[in-house]
Amino acid sequence: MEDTQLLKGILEGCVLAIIAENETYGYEILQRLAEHGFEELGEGTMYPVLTRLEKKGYITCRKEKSPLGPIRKYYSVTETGREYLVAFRESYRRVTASADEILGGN
Amino acid sequence: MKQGYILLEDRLHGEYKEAFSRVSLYSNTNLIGIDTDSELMMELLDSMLMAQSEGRPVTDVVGTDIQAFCKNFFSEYKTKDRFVDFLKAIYRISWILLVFGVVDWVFPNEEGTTFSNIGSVVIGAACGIVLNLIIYILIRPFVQKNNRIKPSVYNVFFAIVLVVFIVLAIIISGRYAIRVPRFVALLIPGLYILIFMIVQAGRNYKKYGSVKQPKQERISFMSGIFASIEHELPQDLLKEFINENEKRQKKGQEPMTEEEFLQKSDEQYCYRKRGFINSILLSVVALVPIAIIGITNDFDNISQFCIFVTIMLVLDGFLFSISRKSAKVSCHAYENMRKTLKEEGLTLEEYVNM
Repeated sequence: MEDTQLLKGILEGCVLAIIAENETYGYEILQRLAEHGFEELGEGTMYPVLTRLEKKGYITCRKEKSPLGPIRKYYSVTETGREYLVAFRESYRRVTASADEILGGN
Repeated sequence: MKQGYILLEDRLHGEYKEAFSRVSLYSNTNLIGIDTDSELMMELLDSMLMAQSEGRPVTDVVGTDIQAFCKNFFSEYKTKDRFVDFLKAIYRISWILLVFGVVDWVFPNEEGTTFSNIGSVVIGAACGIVLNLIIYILIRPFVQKNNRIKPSVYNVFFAIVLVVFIVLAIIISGRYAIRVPRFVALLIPGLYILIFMIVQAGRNYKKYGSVKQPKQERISFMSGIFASIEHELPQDLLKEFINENEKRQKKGQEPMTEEEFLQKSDEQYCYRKRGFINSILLSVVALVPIAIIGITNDFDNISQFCIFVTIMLVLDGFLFSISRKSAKVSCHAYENMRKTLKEEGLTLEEYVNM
């Protein structure tokens, strides 16, 4: 099974967790993900995740001019997003605990 | 119509510029809506400028397969979003129709009929739909299969096709009039605008708790122009300085020092003076055509003339405001540049290359 399938399942939660720490923007989110081992992730994967999270109402954004000229979107998490993140973390713990039992034995 | 980011694209160089153009080409041929295109491309531009400034290769941003990148990047733009963008486009066209309808009502045609000819609008819209279908069904697959097609070549091709369609629309609408009662020409766009605004207000209330969207800095064409002015001003000044000294050299004169040149520019970029000059110029530009048309045209009554003058003043007022804003932006950019040069002891060339 490719890593991409695993990644699809957890990426939204990871991105939301990063945004929940403090208001941030796309490039910075990618840098944070890379610091935690997700170096292969690029803009092509991440921006659709941000769009999905915004459509679902988990994050909101404000726009401000960036130092390099373009207008930059700064994302922050909503109340709905925080609730979802709590539920996601719980699900993730349950799933990884079960998976560890099965996979860890080999 | 592309939005502000197209004016900031010049800040990308080499492979970054090429990659960005390819993504933009994908967006054009896949008919991504203006608002979505503007938002996503502006975010991509920001990321690319950051990566470029850090000296990273463009493959870090877009990978090795641009088509695959584009497919992922725009993957959240669904059929529902296309439909919403289509409705927004009709909303914008409805405003144009409404304005034309009002003008037609206020200034009836020479026949004095109570009918309006909406042929040009209908045929123009039909041509627009046909053009979009041609791009999506025929051109898009061709461009996607041929990576060698340069975005600039596509842009020229598109411009030619667009002109052909516009000419066709004008010829056809000249031959075939579609007459509707004048009140219908006003009622239909008016009703659409009203319904759209009510639905939009409802959606805003559901999303933001208010019928209006929260005020945010818009990614608009004008923002792009102003950002471009700020970026290009130091480069233009440097070119002017170099050219000035070349001319002096040819004439056997002493070259100007950078400080002398900048002191001369200080006056030019003083907002009060620049804003004042722009205001005078535009006042003349605004009033002369009004006067000429007012004198040469036969208005049935004074109220028609007043409405005409009001419409012209509103349009000119809009141009006036843009001109003042661009003068303000130029002067502000110049002041910031002067301050940085002084504080950090930089030359103009060092500032441009920063």
